[in-house]
Parts: sequence; C-alpha cells; structure tokens
Amino acid sequence: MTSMKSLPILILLVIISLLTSFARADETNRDFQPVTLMKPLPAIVDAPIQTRAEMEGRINDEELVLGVSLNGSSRAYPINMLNGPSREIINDKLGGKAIAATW
Amino acid sequence: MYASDIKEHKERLVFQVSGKLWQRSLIMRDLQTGSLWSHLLGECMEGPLKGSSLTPIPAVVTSWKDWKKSHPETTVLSLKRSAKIFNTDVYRNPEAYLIGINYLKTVKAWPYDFLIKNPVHQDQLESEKIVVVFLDDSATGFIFKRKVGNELVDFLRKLKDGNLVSLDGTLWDPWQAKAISGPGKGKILERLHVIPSYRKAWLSFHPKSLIAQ
Repeated sequence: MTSMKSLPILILLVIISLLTSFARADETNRDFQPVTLMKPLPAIVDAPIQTRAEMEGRINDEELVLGVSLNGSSRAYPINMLNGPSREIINDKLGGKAIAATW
Repeated sequence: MYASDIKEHKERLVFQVSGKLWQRSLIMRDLQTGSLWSHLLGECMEGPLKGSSLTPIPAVVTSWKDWKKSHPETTVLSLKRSAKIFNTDVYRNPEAYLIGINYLKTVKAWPYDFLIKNPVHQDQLESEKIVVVFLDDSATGFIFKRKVGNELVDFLRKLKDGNLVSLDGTLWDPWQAKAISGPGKGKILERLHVIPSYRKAWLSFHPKSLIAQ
C-alpha cells in the first residue's frame, strides 16, 4: 500500500528533475569547447597613436570607429584598422588606465 | 573594451589573439598566465585565472564624423588599414546586427531594424526602467537608466537634432549623458554597458536572450 501511495510522488519528482535539467541546458551556453584555427598571434602593445589633427583627412567621415572616453581622455580605433585576426586586440593605455581594445 | 587590470593578478594583463574561436567569437589569451578569455563574456574560461572577470569599459561603435564632433580632443589609433568595408553602409542589412546587454540576470537585445523604427525606446530590465537610444545615421546605440536621482524621466519617442527630449522639454545629449538645456539642464544620466554584435553570434552565446520586436 505504501509503495502505491508514493508512486505519484516519485513520478512527480522525476518530472521535476527532467524539467530542471532542460532548463539548465537552455541557459546561456557556457560549455567551453573552443575551436583552434591557428597558433596564438603576437600581442600588440605600443601601437602608434596620433592626434585628431594629424589624422584629419586620413579617415573618412563615414568610417566606423570604436570610441572610448576615460578620465577625460578620448580615443578612436578605426574598425578598418582592427579587422583581421592579427589586429583584434590592442593593448593600450588611456586616461592613466591600462585597457584592451577588442574587436 | 576592457580594463586590463584585475584584482586576482598584480601585473597588468597583456592579451593576444589565441587562435581559438568559441561560439564564432574571439578567445583572448593573456601572456602572463596563458589563461583563455571569452571576448564577448569578458570572463576567463580556462587556465589559472578561470572564473575571473574583466571590467568592461563603455565604448561605442559610431562614425568618425559623429565621434570627432562629440570628442574634438580625441586621439586616434594609427595603423595601416587591414580592411575597407567598415563604413556606415555596413548596416544596409540592419536585421543582422543588434545591441545587447547582460544586466544582472537579464540578457536582452534590440536589433537595428527595430531601433531604426524606434530610435527612442523606453524599456525595462528586471525592475530597472531604461531608455534605449539609436542614432541611425551612425548606427550608434546607447542605453541609459531613466531614473535620475529620485525622479523617473519620461522621454519622447523621437530625437531632436540627435538629442533626447524629456516631457518637461529638457534636451539630453546622449554622448555626454547629460541634460544640455531646459529645466533639467546639468542633470546626468547613468549609462549602461552596451554590446554591439552580430545577431547570430549573440544568439549563439545567449540562446535565451530576450529580443525586442
């Protein structure tokens, strides 16, 4: 008799655990299984930086830039200069802070 | 865009392209410990620093024209171009791009085609009321909290000369995150960290992301 009574509870527990496992699988995908395409590339440090006046005429108005302001200093990274695997990370300093500009 | 300093490591981290991709997106490697970091999550996924996070620095993707206008003192990276295609007309397929946010436990994104129709869009992330702003000529997206001090600011659904307009007639410059004229002049908006992304990459990372439509 006892086992008959507990059967619905067991079934309920199984259903709940199934539902929870589906919910977990559905969350932001965090299984870290990267694909290796090539060897690591040299890090970019001390990339050349110029003033707006020096760059005037060398960038078109419609070109996209990644812009950042920190502690009163601003810098633009033209995305056409960040494209391609060797350029995707620029290790830089701005407004007294060390930053990684990434694309 | 991330700060390179983390509290778990004394020295500033220097990153290189690892040569690996995960979910179609860049994996970075730090030279100091060899740990692997997801660019999109800002999290260390593997290696001695696994579990550490990088602090995001708010950055925008915009046109050179809009950037230099709003930041006349800007400096500029000066490398030889490695591409020519990244101009404002890259957004001819606006449905392929979105801006997203990862806020507390909520992941939400607004596709560019939605934002072109709704350049000033009041929305909500958990209990936080926000406004999503889109300047469509330069495809620049911003997200601000609507709460300023104790007051909840109501914005009109259209921009005026690139500025937000609140119900009391105050004009707010999204670049400065500040009220520039009207009764609220001088008040500051709190800006949230926005991630511009390809829609496919975003959905691959965040299959449960809410998408505005």
